[in-house]
Order: sequence, then C-alpha cells, then structure tokens
Amino acid sequence: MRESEAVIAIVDDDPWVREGLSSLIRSAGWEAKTFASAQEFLARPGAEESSCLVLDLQLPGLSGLDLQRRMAEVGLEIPIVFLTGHGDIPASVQAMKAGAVEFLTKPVDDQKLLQAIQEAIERDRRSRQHRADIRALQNRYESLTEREQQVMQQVVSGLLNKQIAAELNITEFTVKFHRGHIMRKMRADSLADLVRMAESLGIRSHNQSART
Amino acid sequence: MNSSGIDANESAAHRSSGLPLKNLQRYAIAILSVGVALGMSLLLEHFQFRVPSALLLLFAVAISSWFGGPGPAVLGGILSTASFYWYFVEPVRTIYIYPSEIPYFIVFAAFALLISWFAAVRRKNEADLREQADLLNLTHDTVFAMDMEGVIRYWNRGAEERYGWTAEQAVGRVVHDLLKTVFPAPLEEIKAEVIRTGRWEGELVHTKQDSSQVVVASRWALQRDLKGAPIAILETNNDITERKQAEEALCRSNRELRALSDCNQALLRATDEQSLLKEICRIVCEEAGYRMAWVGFAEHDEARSVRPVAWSGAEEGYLATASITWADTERGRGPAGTAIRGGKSCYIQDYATDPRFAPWRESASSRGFRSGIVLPLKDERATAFGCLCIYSAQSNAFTPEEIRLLEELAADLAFGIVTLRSRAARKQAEQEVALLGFAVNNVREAAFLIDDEGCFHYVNEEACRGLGYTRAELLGMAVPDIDPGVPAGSWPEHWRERQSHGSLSFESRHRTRDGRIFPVEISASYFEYGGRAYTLALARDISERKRAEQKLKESEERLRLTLEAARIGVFDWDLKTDQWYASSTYYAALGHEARPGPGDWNTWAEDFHPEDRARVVQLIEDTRAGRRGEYEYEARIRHVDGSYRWIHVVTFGIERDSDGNVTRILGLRMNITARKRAEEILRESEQRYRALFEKANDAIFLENERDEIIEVNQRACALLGYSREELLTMKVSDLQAPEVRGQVGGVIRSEIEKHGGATFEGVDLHRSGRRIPVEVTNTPISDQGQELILSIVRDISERKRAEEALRRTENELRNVIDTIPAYVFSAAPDSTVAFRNSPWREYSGLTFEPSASSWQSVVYPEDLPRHRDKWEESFATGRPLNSEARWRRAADGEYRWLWARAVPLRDEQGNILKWYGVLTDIEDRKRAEEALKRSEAYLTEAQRLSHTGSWAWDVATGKYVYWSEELFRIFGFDPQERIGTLEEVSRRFHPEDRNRWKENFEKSLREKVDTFNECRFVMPDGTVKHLHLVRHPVLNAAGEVVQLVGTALDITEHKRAAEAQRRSEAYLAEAERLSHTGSWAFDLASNKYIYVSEECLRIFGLNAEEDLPTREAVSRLIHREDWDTVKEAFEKSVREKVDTTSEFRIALASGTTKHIQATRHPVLNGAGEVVQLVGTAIDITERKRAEEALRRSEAYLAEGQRLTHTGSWALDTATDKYIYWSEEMFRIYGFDPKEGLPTRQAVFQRALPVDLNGLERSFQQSLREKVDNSQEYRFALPDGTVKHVYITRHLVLNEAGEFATMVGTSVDITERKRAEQELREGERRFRTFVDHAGDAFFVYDLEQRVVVDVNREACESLGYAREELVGKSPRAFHLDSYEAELESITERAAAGQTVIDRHRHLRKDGTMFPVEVHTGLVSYAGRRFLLMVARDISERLQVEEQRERLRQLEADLAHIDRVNILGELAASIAHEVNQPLSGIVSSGGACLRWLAADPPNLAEVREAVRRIIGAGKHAGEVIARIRALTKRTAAPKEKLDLNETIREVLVLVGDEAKRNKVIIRTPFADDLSPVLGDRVQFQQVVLNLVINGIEAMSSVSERARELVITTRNIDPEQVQVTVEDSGTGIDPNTISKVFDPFYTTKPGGMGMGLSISRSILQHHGGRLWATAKDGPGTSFHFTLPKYHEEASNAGV
Repeated sequence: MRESEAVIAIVDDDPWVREGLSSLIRSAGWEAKTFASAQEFLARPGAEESSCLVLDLQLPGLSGLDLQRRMAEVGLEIPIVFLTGHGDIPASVQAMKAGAVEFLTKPVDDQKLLQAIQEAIERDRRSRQHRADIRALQNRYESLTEREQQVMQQVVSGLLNKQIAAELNITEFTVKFHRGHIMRKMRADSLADLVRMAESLGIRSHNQSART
Repeated sequence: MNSSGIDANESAAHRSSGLPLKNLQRYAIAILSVGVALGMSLLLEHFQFRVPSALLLLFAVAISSWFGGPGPAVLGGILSTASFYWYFVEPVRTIYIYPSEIPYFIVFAAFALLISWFAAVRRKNEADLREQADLLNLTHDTVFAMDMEGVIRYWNRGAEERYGWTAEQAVGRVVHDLLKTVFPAPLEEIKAEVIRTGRWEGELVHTKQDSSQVVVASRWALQRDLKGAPIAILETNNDITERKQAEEALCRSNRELRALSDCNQALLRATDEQSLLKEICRIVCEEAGYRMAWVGFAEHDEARSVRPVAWSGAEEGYLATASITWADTERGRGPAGTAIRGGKSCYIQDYATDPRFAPWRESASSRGFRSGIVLPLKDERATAFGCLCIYSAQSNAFTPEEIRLLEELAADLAFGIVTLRSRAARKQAEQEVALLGFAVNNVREAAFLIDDEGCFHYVNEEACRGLGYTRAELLGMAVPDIDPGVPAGSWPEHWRERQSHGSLSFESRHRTRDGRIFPVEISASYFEYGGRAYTLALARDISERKRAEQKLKESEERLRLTLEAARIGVFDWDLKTDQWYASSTYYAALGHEARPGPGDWNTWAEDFHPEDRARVVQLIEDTRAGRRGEYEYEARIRHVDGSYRWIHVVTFGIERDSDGNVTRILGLRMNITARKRAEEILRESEQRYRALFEKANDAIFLENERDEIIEVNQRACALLGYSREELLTMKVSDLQAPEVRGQVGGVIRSEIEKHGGATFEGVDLHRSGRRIPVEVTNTPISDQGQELILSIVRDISERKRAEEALRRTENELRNVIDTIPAYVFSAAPDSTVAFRNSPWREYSGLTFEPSASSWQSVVYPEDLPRHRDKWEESFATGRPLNSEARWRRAADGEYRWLWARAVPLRDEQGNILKWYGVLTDIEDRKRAEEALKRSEAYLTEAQRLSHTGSWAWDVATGKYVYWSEELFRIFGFDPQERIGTLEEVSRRFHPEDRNRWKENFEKSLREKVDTFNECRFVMPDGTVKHLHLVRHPVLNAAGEVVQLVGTALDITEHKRAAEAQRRSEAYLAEAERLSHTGSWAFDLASNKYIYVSEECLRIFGLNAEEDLPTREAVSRLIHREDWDTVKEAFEKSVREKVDTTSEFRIALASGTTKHIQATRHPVLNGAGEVVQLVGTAIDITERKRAEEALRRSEAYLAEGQRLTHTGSWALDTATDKYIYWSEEMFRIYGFDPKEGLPTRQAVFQRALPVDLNGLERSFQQSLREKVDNSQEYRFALPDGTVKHVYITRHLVLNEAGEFATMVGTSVDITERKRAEQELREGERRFRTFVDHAGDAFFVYDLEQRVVVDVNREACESLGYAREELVGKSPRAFHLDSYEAELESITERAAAGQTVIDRHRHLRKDGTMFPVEVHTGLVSYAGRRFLLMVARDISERLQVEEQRERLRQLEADLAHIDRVNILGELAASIAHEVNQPLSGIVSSGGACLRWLAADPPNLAEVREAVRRIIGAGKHAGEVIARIRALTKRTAAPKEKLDLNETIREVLVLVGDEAKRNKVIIRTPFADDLSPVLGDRVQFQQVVLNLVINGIEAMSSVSERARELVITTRNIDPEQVQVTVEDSGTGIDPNTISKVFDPFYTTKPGGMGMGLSISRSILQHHGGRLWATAKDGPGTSFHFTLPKYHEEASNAGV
C-alpha cells in the first residue's frame, strides 16, 4: 500500500469525470475529495491539506489556471495535476510554468494519471518535510534572546568576535558567552552548520545589508 | 305418628312378621354403611384429613342401628372400631387393645345401643298404626283421615270403593282438591267449628274418580295431640245421593206446576207478543227453576235461522253466539232445529255426552247448562213457527211428567202468540186498506180495476179527471171504450195475454170524453180474487214525456248528423258499468263496421300505435279506476287497412256521483290525420331547413331595410363572438370595421339592385375587437312583403392570411399564376393587355406582347361584338367586366365558352391603375345549364280518385266495352285481366236483387229510359256491397240504343250508416221502466211515521225488515239543497191544512240519486185539527233523467263544439233560412246570439271578397248536385279579425227522399292556420337561407340511404338539377368510398361531433373537385339524417399548396440554420461528448483496479459500472439531441415544458460558454405553463439567441460576462422567455433590423438566424423581439401561447 494518509483533491465540473476519477484514485489506495468548482475548493475548509490537486482546466467561472494563480498568491503549495478536454498548448505551457506536476488530456490514461499523482504526492511529501525542518529551526531561533539573535546575525555574517563586540559595544568575552549559548540553543555542530541554518531561516546581517 | 291418639294394641306378632330376608338386608345395610364410611375416610386420609374418619364411622354405626336395630348396630360398631384401629389409629395391622382405650369402646357401644333402641320404638309405633288401619279398612263406611291442612293421611277401603281412588293414589293429596268437595258452608267456618267442638256433621257433595257426584252425610272428628293441639281430622261419610234425588224431583214437579199456572195467567193477561214471551221465559226460569229459557221464531230466510225473540235466566250472550238454525244441517240437527222441523219436543238429558249438542257444548257448559228441552210452538195449522227452549243445570232433568207439563206450557204459549198475531194483523190490514184507498185516489196515475170482460170495477179520481168522465160513468164502461188500441173484439185475446204475463207494462192511448187521444203508459197486474180474475191497471199520461222524447230524438239526430258530417265520432261511456256506446261515425272513421264497444280493453288498446299505446292505456286505466274524469289526447290508431290515423279525443264527464267523481263520460273523437300529416311534413321540412341553416359553415345574417339583424345562425354567433340574442339587437354596421362601414350602405345596395345580389369583401369586428376579414354575399329576398337582405358571411381570415403570405412571395405567386389552370391577364387602363399568364397564352396562342386588340381574333365571331361592347364599356366606366363568350383554343381550334371577369385596381384616389382579369372555362357549366332547362318539368296535379265507377256496354256485341278503374275496384275484378262479361257481373249480384237488376237493365234497353236501382253485390270474399246503379241508353241517329252507359256508386258505407241509425232508434225506443207509487202516513202527535208502504220503502232504499223509518232517517236522505222546500211544504200542509206537492232528490245509501214527487194530505180529527199527514211518494227519476238528458244533450253538443271550435248548423233548403245554429257558430262568425239567427246572406257577406264567390258557388253546387262537400274559407269579422273556417255541408233526406235540410259544421281553424302559417314562413325563410348559402347542402336519409334534399349550391356545384340529385345515393357524386366510411361517420356524428372530412366530388360532366365536408347528425320526426355541408376547396387547396411550398422553403432554411449553429458549436459539442467519455474511461480503469484488489471490492465495481452506464447514456442523449437538431423533417407538435427544452439545449453550449468565460444563469419560473410546439424548432430559437449573446460578449473584459435566461408566465394566455446578455449592445435605431434576413454583424454569418427564429415563433403563434437594456447588453424576448387541451386537439 502507498501512503494511505495522502488525500487527493479533484476539481471538475463534470460529475461523471469527478466520480470516475475519485473512484480511480480510491482504488489506488488514496483518499479522494471532490469539488465541482474552483470556488468550492477555495471555500471548503481542509482542502489545503490535500497532497495533490487533480484540476480540470475548463471550469465555469474561475478556470483551472486562475485557481493555480490564486493558490500561488495565497501560498497554497499543493502539487497540481492538470486535466483538459482540449490539449491547448499555450494553456499547458502556462500551467507547467506555474509549477504543475503534469498536464494530461481527457480521456486520461489511468496509469499516467496515477503516476502523476504519485509524483505529486512525493513532491508534496518532500516539501512538507522541508517546511517541517524550517519550522523546527525557526522555533530554536525564537528561543534565542534578542541579544543572542543580534550576536547570531553578526556571527553568520562572518564577523569576528572582536568585531561583533565592537559592533555591539560589548566585551569580547560577552560575545563568546553569547556565541556558546547560540550554538547550544540552535543545536549547531559547527559554525558552518549555523550559517546553513541562518540561510534556511533567511537571516541576513544588518551590517552586511548595510554594507551592500 | 308415634304420638297418634288412636288406641292400638302392641302386637309382638306383628313385630316379628318381617321376613328373614329383611334381617339380611339390615345387616347388609350395616356393613355397607361402614364400608362407605371407611371408603370416604380413606379418601380423606389420602388428602391428609384425619379427624373426620372417626366421626364418619360413628355416623355409619348410627345409620346401622337406626335402620337395622341392635344386631346390625353392634356389628357396625365392631366393624367401625376395627377399621378405625386397623387403618387409622394403629396402622400396624394387628389388633392390640390398650386397657386405657376400653372406655372408648364402652361409649361407642352405648351410643350404638341407644340408637338401636330408638329405632325399635319407632318401628313398634308404626306397626300399631298399620294395625289400626287394617281395622278401619274392614268397615264399608268411607273413612279417611287428614291433617289440618287437608292432606290425606289415611284412606280406607270403603273410601276406595266409594270414590274410586286407591289408598296409594289418595294419600298425600289434598282431600278437597281430590274430591272437589262442595261444602254447605265455607271450609274455614267448618274447621273452626271442628276445632271448637271437636266434631262436625253435614252434607257434602263429592266427585268420584269417574266424575260422577255423590252426596254424602259427613261426620268429622278432631284428633288432638297430647298437648291438646289439633293434629288431624277423621272424616266418615255415608252415601245419601239417592235420597237427595228423590227429594229434588218432588220439589221440581211442584215448581213446574206452579210455573204452568203462572204461564196461563200470563197468557190471559197478555196484550202484546213480546211482553208475553218475555214473561213466559221469566216464569220458566224463575218459577220453574230452570237455568235459562228462550223463545225463538223460525225464520224463512236463506239460512233458516231461528231468531231468538225473548229470553230469561243465565243467557250471558249465549244466543248471540249459538247461531241456531232449523235447516237440515249439522247445526240444524240440534234440539231446536229438530223440534221445529219435526214439530215434536226434543230433549237432551246430558249435554256432555249427547253428540247432537256438540256444536254448543262448550259455550253451554260454561254457562252451567247440563241438559235441555226444546218445545215447538205450533200455529193453528199445526206447523211449528218457533220453539221454546229450556236449559237445566242438572243432567237428566226432564222426566216424562215434566216433559208433558212443559209441552202443555208450550202449546198454551203458541196459542197465545197466534191469537195475538191475528189480532195485530187485522188491525194492520184495516189501516192499510184505508191508506191504500187514499193512495190510489191521490196518485198521478189513473187506476182501473178491470174484470175479465174488460169492465171497470173501480176507477180512481185521477182516472175520472184524466178521461173527463164521472166515476159512475166510468164504472159502466169497458176498456175498449177508452182505449182505441183495444177494439172491442180483441179484448179476450188481450185478456189472455195479461193472464199469461201476470203483470205487464206497455204504452197505449186513451181517449177522453171529448175525443182527445193521449199516450199513456199502462202497468197492469193480473190477479185473482174471490174466484174472479181482475187486472189492476195504472195508466199514466205520458204526453209530456213523449214530446220530450221526440225533441230529444230530434236533437240527437241533429247532433248525430252534424258529427257525421264533421266525421266526429261520439262515444258514451258509463264508468260504473263499463258500458260503452259509440256512434257509427266513431267506427267508420277507422273503417270498422259498428262493433260492440271496446269490450275487451286489451284488444282495443292494440289498435293504437305502439308509441302512443302506453299513454292512452294509462289514461283509460286511470279513468276506469276513477283517478281521472276527463281527458284529451292525440294519438295514432290503426285503420282497418293497416295504416295509422291520427285521432284527437276529447272527453267530458256528464255524470258525477255525490263525491263529485265522474261516473259517465261523453267523448268526441276526430280524425286529424290529414292535419297531422300536413303538420308533420311541414315540420319536417322546417326542421330540416333550420338544421341546414344552423349547420351552415358560413355565418348567415338576415337584415331588414334598416340594416337591423333579424336572424342569425350559430356560425355567425361563433364567428363574431356574440350570442344570438345580442346580435338580434344590433345593426349590420355595428359589426363592420369603421372603414368598411361607409361603403356598405350605398354601394352595396345599388349593386344589389342592379345585379340582384352582391359579393364584396369587408372586415367585421369580433366582440373582442379582433378584425375578421370576411367575404359577404348579399342576396335580396322578399319575406312577407318585406324586403330583406340575406347576407352570407364567410370568414376569409385564412384566405387573407394566405394572400398575405403570397404577397410576400410575389415571385412565387407569379409562378403560381403561370401554373394555375386558370386564364389570367392584366390590362392597362387604356385596355391594352399587359400580361397573360402562361396557360392563357397557351390556350389562346396569344403572345405576351402588349396589344390593345390582338385578343379579338380568338373570340368567336358571333360573340365578338357583344364581348367587345362589354369590354369597352367596362374600360370606359370602370365597372367590372363580366362577359361570357366563346374563345378559340389554339391547340385544336375548338371554341369554348369562357367567362371573362375583370376588375380594376384603383389607387387611393380611385384612379384605375390596372385591370386584372380571369377567364374561366364555363363550357361544362353552359352545357349543364342547357340540360337543366330541358329537364325542368313539373308534376301534373294528381287527379282525385272518383268514387264512382263508370262503364259502357255495347248492345251489338253484348259486351262491356269500358270499365273505369274504380269500377274494377268496386266489382272486385282485376284491372290487369279483362273486363268481366255481363254474365259474370250478373252472377255476382245478390240472388234476391239479381232479377230486379236484370229487369232494370232490360228496361233501359227496351224503353230507352234511364233506370237506376240499388242492388247488393257479393264480392268474391263473401262481403256484400250496396251499389247504386244508374244506366243510360245511348241512342244513335235512328233512335236505336247502341250502348248502355252507366255508373255504379258504392253506397255500402251509406247503407251501413242507415243500418246503424235504425239500430240506434231501437236503442232509444227501449221502454222506460214502470214507475211505482209509495204511500205513507205520519202521525203528528208522536212525530213518527205510522205507516210506510213497501214500495215507499223501496223507493227510499230503506230496509223493510226494520222498524218504520223515523222522520230524521227520511230527512237525512233528502238532498240538502231540496231540504228547505220539502220542509216548507210539509209545514204548510200542517199549518194551512192543504195538500202540498213537492219534488225533491234523495241520495240513497247505494250512492244513486232519485227524484221523488211527494204529495201530502192532512187528516183532520173531529175538532178540525190536523192529526196526521198521509201522502204518496212517486219515483220520478226516470222522467227527470229524460228531461235532464234532453237538457244535457244540448249542453254536450255546445261543450263539444266549443272544445273543438266546431259550430253546427242546419239550413232549410226550401226557405234558404237557418233553422238551427249552435252557440259556437255565433262565436265563430261573430254574431250576437241575442239577435237571433242571422240570414245566410249576412253570414256569407262576412266572407273575404276573394272567397265569397267560391263560397257561394260551392254552396249552390252542394244544393244542385246534392253532394256533400267541404271547403276552407276566410271570414272577416266586424272587429277586423280574419277567421279561417272549415265548412262541411251535408244534405239530409226527408221521408220523401228529397233534400229538405242541409246540416253542416263550421270549424274555426284560425289558430291551426296561424300555426301552420308560422311554420310555413319559418320553413320558407330557412329554405331561402339554405338556398342562398355558399356551401352545398345534402340531407342524407340514413334509413333509405339516399339524399332527400339538396340546396341550390349543391346542384350548381355538381351540375345536376335538384330533381336528379334527390333520391340519389351519395355514391353518384361522392368519389371516395363513402359507403365504407359512412358507418364510422354516423357513429362519430351520433356522438354529437361534427365530422370534418375531405373528399372529392364528381360533377355531372365527370370533372372532379375537392371538397371539405362537415357532417352532422340531425334527427327529426323520429328519423335520423346525416347533414352534409360540402365546400369547394379547390381554391383553398391551391392556396394551401402555395403555403405548403413556402413552409417547405422555410423549413429548409431553418434546417440550414440549425446545421450552421451546430457547426459553430462543434468544439463545444465535442467537449460535451468528451466529458462523459472521460468519466467512462476513468470509471473503467477504477473498475479494473477494484476487481484486481484482493478481495475485489465489488461494491465499488458496481458503482463504477453504474457510472459508466449513466455517462454512456448521457453522451448518447447529447448526440441524440444534436441529431434531432440536424434532422430535416419537422417533428409533430407536442406538449412541451419550455424550461426543460431550454435546459436540454444549454448543455450543447456549456463548453462554448466556458471557453468564452460566460456564465449562463437560468432563473426559470417553476410554475411555467406548458406550450405546444416543435421541440427542435424552439431549441433552434434558443440556440440562436444564446450563441448571439455569447458572441456579443466576446469582446467584453471589463465586466462579468453573464447570460441570463428567464422564463415566466406573463399573462393567462402566454409565456415569455427572455435572453439577456451583457455585451456591447445594439444601436436602438437598428435594433429592429436584426430580424431582417441577411442582416448580420458577424463576418461569417448568414444573417438568417433571427429571421428564421422569428418565423418559427410566428408559426407557433408567438412573437420575437429585441430591446436594448438599461445597462450594457441586449435583451431578446419571445412569447408563446400556453398549451390548452382543446387547442391542441384543434391544432393537431
């Protein structure tokens, strides 16, 4: 069995297609949620928990591409598998550019679809993992005191202890003291490690920016 | 009993007298009782009850000792004790007695012994008693003992012997009940005495077992117990019965002797019978001591009853129920009957046993009668006239001695009665003689007592007065002296006749002293008296009556003649007796010979027509049952020849009983067949035309000069939406559209005047304001002097619409014109022919080049000038051209008749722009017209059948040379065969008449004179005809007879009438009944009738058997209205001491009314006071009735005439003056009866001038030719009214055979005429309508299967003459298989439908034309007709064809449009199909996966497969819809849900909309009404609008692209669909252009979509339009009419 916790959202205005896909996906061991329109998908709570979105390109009102755009705007990162009645090239290019996993033409081959979904789930799982790591790092970062955060910014900027002390107008010892705390709190093994963490957290040194 | 006080010795012997068996029994009882106790104890033990076992065993011991004595007691004790110990105390099965228990044993034994002792003592006492009883049984006296309640305790043998009851039977019963003791004193007293004194003695009567009684001397002794309380009574009885009987016999004998002596005294003292009888009965009962006695007289009535007249004693209603008779029947064989019949006394000693008394046994015994004797009462001739019956309370009461005494008594009684009766009879006789003398002298009849020689022995005063002789003179005369009818010589013969008849009544004449002879009615009775024979003759002067009769007869005769003349039958029906008399005319009317009345009502009723029978029979039954007195009906009745005749019967009651119910009916029956037939024919015709009028497909109006509508048909109402009533109040101009109104008045009228009719097109307004184009044909008709216009209005909306359509496609029309088989041309105003259509060019060979006169070369030279003149005239005046001429056909050079019509086309100023002309080939019509003219022939008037046959006989050949047809009929020869020879004819004459006929025949030959005689002629079938034969010799120039010509007139009917008349006279001459005179006497002091003669009683209907009637009883009979006069006359007689006479009516109990003439005479006493009134009462009912009849006869006639509006009259032809006019005559002719009879001239002067000559002529003709005739005339009365009078004349022969009187009737038939007139006018009016109708009408008779009527149009359209069509089967002109369709058409028509079919009709010339036939079923006069209205639809068909072609084109366009739309939508549609396909693929994949799972998930599989099927269907539907849209052929119209229809089509554009980012919203009305139409076409419209909308928004980006489709019900009739877009919108100025064809804004568009949509909607009765929206965008709307059930039917 595959990752049974995966939920696949299907958005298609045609009930026959919707139900057919749902059944197919369920037969592959995933859970399927169906939506008749883009609006419904956006409005329904919990939809964003889906691992994959199987999306019809032609939808009344908000079209498939519109939805993709909207999701990007709100930061909803669900891998999308596009389906379309007419294989219209500009639309497929646009979709793929916007990060769609796959662009399939109706009637869709079930193997292809399931593969695409699998891929999407994989991608989703990865992105979820990544997001979880960042969140842990963030938490650690949050546990630093203000001074420590300042020191850390300086440290990852590549400044020397002396420089930091001068910069912050504190003694070198105090810097060292803070530095030890930071390393311990951030569970960083080395300075390189800390720098990578800071990168992940998107921390930039004031000075550095000021300097650049 | 053990304490009984009877002294009895103890006897040991007795004690031991028990047998050894008894001992065994006793021991057995002991053992048994212990056994039972033991058993019960064990049973109880079983149920854990221990204690009672000892008690039970003790009880068993007690029983043993009581019944068995000591021995068994001891045994019982031992057994009990043993059992007790053995089973209960020590259940060890060993006997072991403890010393401590010994006392128990002792107690037990003691107890047993004690009980044994008691038993022993009781037995001893019983034995003592038995011994005493044995002693008592030895005595022969009756001895028995009873306790204080009377229950027998002892009963000895003596008692057994005496009473028959054995001791076993007696003991235990109550003695007094057993013996039915009769006590001398109450039992309680006796008992008290016994208790007080200890004894009582007395005599008692006892009843034995065999029910006989015995008297005993009884001695009672009281027994007391030791305390002295009474316990029993011992009674000893000695039989003293015989002694008692002896005593009684002696006593009775004494009594009877005393009674006899009393009776004798009573007899001596008796003054009247009743009291004597009562007294005797009383003496017999009271003195002689019998229980009851009564005297009965033997009645000589039918039942021979014995009427009890007096009784005494215990009667108690016995006699009322006894019904004793002396007839020799069962009841008559009782003692009373036997005694009266045998004249000997009869006694029954014991009623209980004697069978003769069986019928009365029960009622007698209940009254205590045991025996009786009946003694006959005999008169001096020793016949028994009654009996004395005596009942005794004892049986065997009558000893011989006693019987002798009683017989003596009866004989005395009989003697006494006879004596009393003879005394009374003498007294009565004396009085009667006195009264009779008075009565005879006072009657209004002459009384004569005549001896065998004819001499008068007595005459009364009336005889003297009437004849003018004194009594002395008369007594010396004989019958022949006063009766000219009895000549002296014939007296002995006359006498013998009287002798043989006894009493006789006859009419004769008497001569008075002064020689006057008057008619008398004599009733004579013959009797012998004193050895001589006498006749008592009563003669009554009947001159008055004779005169009345004569008058009556004349009146009746006149009535009869009148009725005969008027052919009115009269009947007279007595409902009480159901007797029937009818006049000969009654029967003659139906060809019957006179026959004896209906008699058998059932057969009579059969003569009626089945449809009328029930009604008439009901009437008659009601009448006979008394529920109805008078009636009137019209009905059909069968004539002897089998045909039915209409009769009209009117009756009126002429006699009623006292309750006012009609009891006799006089009726008139008239033959109204002719009138009915005429009415029938007229009505049928009227109905037929009315039906035709109403069924016409065109609206028909009848207008008068003032334009007012005076008649319309249903179609007109339907066309204009008004009711008939509304239309009749309107003017024609009200109905016309305003612009037409002006033209109609003048132009049309002048047109009509000029051409006798006009046809124009106009526009009428429907009630709702809708304009209806119509074609109006006006025809002037004249109706009752009024000039009317008949307008036939045809709705030409259809045609107009078609024309409209045609104009739109003028090119097509031009083609049409070129292709239609008519010849069309147009010409310029200067008469230059501008256009000829191709058929015309082809026909005439003329070219298309405009020319003024090229056509002249092809007109037949003869016709050319005329045609040219007309042509030029038309072009000069502008009038339409209308000309017929022969034109050459270019093809074969033949000239054919063509009818050229041309009309100018004018512009608005009236200038002629162009002429349009049509030439119609009328060659066939012309030919048909010729034929029609030739075939016009009229039927010659039917000749009246002569009732006289004529013949000619040639002398030379001795043969008949000529017989008229009638003569064949009269003689009964077959006209087909030959004329009979003289010999044959002669043989047919009646043998008695044959010689006379021959003589006359020869006489005519010999003496050359006319001869005539009446002969009877025997027909082959044996009937006899009376012929009046006339012969006339025809002489040649030499004066020789060459021929005999003559006539034979069938006068059988006349003879028959004469016969009937004779019979009627006999009927009238039937003698009136002898009237009797009753006499009476009334005593004023007692206010009672003291004498009333039997006849008087009979007259008054009183019972002679009863007492004399009281004054009240008589006065009750008198009619209330007459009572005052009777009373007044009665009192006047008393007051003024004068004789009075009065006439009055009495009503008898039987309901009949009698007329009485009463005379009263006061009888004075010595002091001159009135003490009595004596008088007579004469029944004058008959006379009164005759008078009444006479009076009524007139009244009936008048009544009958009034009812039938028939007046009758008589005219003396000698003086030419009316001698009689009935009342009705005055009314009819308007003369005043007070001024007397008018002269004939005065009456004739009232006739209308036009009728006067005819009237005078026919009157004179009737006189001159001596024939009856009848005719209708009109008379103008002074008040101006005109009356139609039907006059019948009949000449009456006097004795000399001359016509002395003319009688006749005048019947006022004005009313009938008026009705007929109205009917005829209606008929004529409708006929005019029908004849002018533009449609052809056929009336088809479903029974005869032929056309029975057609109108003018039918004839013209088919080219037949009317006569040719009538009588034909529709097959002749109806091309299609009409016969086959007829059944179904009739069926549908019968359901009330109007059946509309199209057929082809065949003209006489063989050409065909299509018709539309409306068929309806009408029925009148009980027959069913199909009414077929046919309209030539050639034109319409052509127009329709054109329209069809146009429609086809439109359909093609629509189809192209649909295909285009689908092309545009191809991508969208592909998507719509792809979607479900995609679903199917996905579901299919899923399905496989689910199946592959382990285990397979079948629920999911099922679901997936279901989806696959559903999606597949969906895809199929989409495809089907597309296919429907691409179909070329039109689908039938159906009921559609518009919402659904729109939704279906929106599926197809779904993808298109999505791609264009258009949102389609459908706010549909949920309750949208359905519409009728073609689904595909509607969808096409919607598609067009939707696609247009989507396209309109393609360039919009700044706002939502939204397409809204709404549906709603906008009003009760329509639904509306709106399609709104939010596109760029259309310029309001060009918005209407979008619907024009080929207008498009789309580069690739055809520009047809909206145009086609609009046309589709118009076809469906809807509308399509566009409006600009307030905001951006455009709205398209279309409406459709709602679906209606009936609309759909009509539409499909």
